[in-house]
Amino acid sequence: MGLGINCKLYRNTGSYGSPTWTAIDLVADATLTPTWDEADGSARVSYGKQTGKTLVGVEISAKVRVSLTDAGYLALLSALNSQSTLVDIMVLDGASTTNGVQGYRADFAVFGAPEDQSMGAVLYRDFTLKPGISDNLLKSVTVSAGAPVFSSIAA
Amino acid sequence: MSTRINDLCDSLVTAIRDTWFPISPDLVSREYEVDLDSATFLGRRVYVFPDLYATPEPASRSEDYEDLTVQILVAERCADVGAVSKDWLDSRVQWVQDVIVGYLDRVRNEPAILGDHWPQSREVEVYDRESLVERKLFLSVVSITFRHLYTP
Repeated sequence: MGLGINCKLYRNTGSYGSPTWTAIDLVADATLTPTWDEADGSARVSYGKQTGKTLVGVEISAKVRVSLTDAGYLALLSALNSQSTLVDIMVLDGASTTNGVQGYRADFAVFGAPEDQSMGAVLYRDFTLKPGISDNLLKSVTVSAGAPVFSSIAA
Repeated sequence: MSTRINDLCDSLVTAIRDTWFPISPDLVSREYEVDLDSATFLGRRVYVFPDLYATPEPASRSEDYEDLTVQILVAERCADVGAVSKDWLDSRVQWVQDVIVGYLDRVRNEPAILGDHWPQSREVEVYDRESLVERKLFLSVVSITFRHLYTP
């Protein structure tokens, strides 16, 4: 049975071709939203509307507990505060060694990270990540034989 | 391996001792049960009891929050002849506020005092009327709930 608490947000601390996946442990709640843009492809051939999928966006919203020392949190914060820094992230609905687990991988840019500083709050940041402009394209991930397998988003 | 709640109690005993500097027969210690029925105990006794802890909640994928409740009992018998004076009681009530409750107020600004524990709520029974009337015993109970962040 899948549980949110067992989902993983991994950061690559190695190279793109030979990744070392390190989980960002201070993630609390997270939402993964893959969504295709739509375009109308209707024609006189049918009264039925026809809709085409054009581009897929994969957005990650992750609530991360603030830390002065956690490397994963600090990497996301660094990407927030840079116009160009991307973070090689793999988001999965389970551990990267559990067969059948699925997700995505891309060089993500951090577009926002609001922080609730109200008096009764423990500090968290709500990071918003989307694939950035990179030669390393968005991949879907399926774990097979105990390791992530990456597939291009194909036509 | 010690329990988290007893570790907290021991930290409180150390913190109270480092603030108060009790001189015998005064004492502060962690206990499960104490005998306050003796009519002859001397000095001011501060006892820290583990009370309860609740179901932890996830704070992140690697950490949980847990609420731990402890009770701090302050007991002192009035050895003065006759009725217990208001001044005597006022000074004990003041001491509980300054040393026990006041210490916990500092934790808000100095969280490193108790590591990853911080006080969430407290309730103070200022004095027990029956103990005062029947045994000239000042008995004050401070119940505090701490929240603790830990990696299970």
